Amino acid sequence: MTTFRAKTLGGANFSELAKVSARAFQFVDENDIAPFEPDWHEVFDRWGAGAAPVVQGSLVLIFSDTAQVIGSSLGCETVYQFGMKPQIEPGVYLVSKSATGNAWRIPGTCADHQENCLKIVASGLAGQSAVVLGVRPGHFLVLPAGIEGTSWSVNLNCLSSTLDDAILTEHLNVFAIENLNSAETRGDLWIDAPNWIPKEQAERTIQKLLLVGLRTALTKHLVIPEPSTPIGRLDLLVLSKDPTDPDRYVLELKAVRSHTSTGTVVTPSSMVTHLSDGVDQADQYRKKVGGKAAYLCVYDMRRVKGGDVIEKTKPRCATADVLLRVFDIHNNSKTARKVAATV
Amino acid sequence: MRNVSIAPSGEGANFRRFWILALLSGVERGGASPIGLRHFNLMAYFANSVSRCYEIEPLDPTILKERGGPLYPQLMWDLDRLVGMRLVRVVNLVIAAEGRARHVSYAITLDGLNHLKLCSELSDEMKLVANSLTSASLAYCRASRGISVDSMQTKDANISDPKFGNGDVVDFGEWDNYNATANAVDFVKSSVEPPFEENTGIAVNLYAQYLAKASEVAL
Repeated sequence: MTTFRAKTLGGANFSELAKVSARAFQFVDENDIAPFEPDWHEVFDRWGAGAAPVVQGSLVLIFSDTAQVIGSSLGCETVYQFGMKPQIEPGVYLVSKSATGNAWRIPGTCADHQENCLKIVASGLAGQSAVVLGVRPGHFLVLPAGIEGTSWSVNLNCLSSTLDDAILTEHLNVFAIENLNSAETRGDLWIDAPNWIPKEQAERTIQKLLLVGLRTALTKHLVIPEPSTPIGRLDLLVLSKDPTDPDRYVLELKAVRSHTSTGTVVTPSSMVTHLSDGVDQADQYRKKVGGKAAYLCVYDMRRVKGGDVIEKTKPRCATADVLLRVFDIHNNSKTARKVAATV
Repeated sequence: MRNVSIAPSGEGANFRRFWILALLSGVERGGASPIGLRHFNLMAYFANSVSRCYEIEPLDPTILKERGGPLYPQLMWDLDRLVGMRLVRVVNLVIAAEGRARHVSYAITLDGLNHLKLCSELSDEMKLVANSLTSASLAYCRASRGISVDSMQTKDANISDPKFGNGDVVDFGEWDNYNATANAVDFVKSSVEPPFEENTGIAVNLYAQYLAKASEVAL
């Protein structure tokens, strides 16, 4: 920390400034890709959790950087300090990514979810990220690609705010089965799905989607993408919003594929090396950040899953005390549905 | 960079109006539209004082310290011109019995956003200025429930500096390069501990939180 002389801070209170810097976890970068900022979680908790949720009926929040502009064009009523309201009427509201702002209620929307969806489509907002409360009790639904896309369901009535391997692994499983294998996501991952040719940035895409998925699911935790350490950047770091909880989880993500994006065959030895690097990275980053656990999350994009590539990685993980988690990515809906049905 | 003249028309006026649109863009993005005139003036001062943190020149690096808080008559004039140009709209206008405006709020329009985008594309400098001001106003808006004239007078590093009394001109870049508010933001930025990184936008947000009353800001 640079040494500041008190006299350079004018009339500011030095100790209050030092205290406020400890709250950096409250804010995400302005260009963060998640559909909403972490402060919305408290609002969802307040409105949707518990045996008698505040919200009765469909409450749809449509996220936009220009909520007021769109709202005024649709003749919306302004609801000031929306996130602070103890009671909210069902309906569809345009809101910003930050929960501290106002909202604009689309006229004619109501407690009926079907009606609300029709109104959203008619208003030209079907493609905007949305969150739905009041439809599935004790849950909120996240629709990152809009009201007609995939929805992720998040349970607000979690028994505990702590995180452990079982809970984190469950979230990773749900993400892989329900979200990574959806028809909408498939378009982001494959150049030529029938021939198992992935996009060059598939691994990066998975990382971004997982960031959003974990952010929305882990309401009591922060998920930080690529925080830098003295030895480089790790993929994802999960830590509690409670500053007294020291547990941190390091996630290193790797995709294994049969072909490169140009169609060149990838050899098994290079895949093994790729995963071996991942084990080393996860181990080293865990030591550097004082992590409770380190995960190597392998996303298998090959035609034939599992096999030697995974088997050869297992002993390395065991030696380094890195938890290996393998998730299959399928190239078509039929296979994905079949596999999901057996789980 | 540049010192902008206070002439009501001409090149200086165009830049001031671009400056205002950039601020209102951040207000829009933060869902805080419309913004009342009192908060607009506080926010304009906030943006001026933290401009150095974003490596841009402030529009006006001086402010008269007075009991009613920061006031920018020239910007208010330009704001009304933007309303006439339909780049900003008036909301919640309340006229007092004697005919003057008792309360008024402003919000950027779609035309205003499009105009800002075109101006930002003119040069890298314009883009940097637009992005920086949007970031600063977004930070202000997140904490605006707790920021008041009183909190600015008593907590802001520049204005609350005991060497300035009411009626004095607080200079933070015109003749005097010393900017205590920017120093305070830099201090917060350097105090952030890993795994969080030193980030100007987040440091400005934290400084805005410091200005606000804690009870007013929390959800």
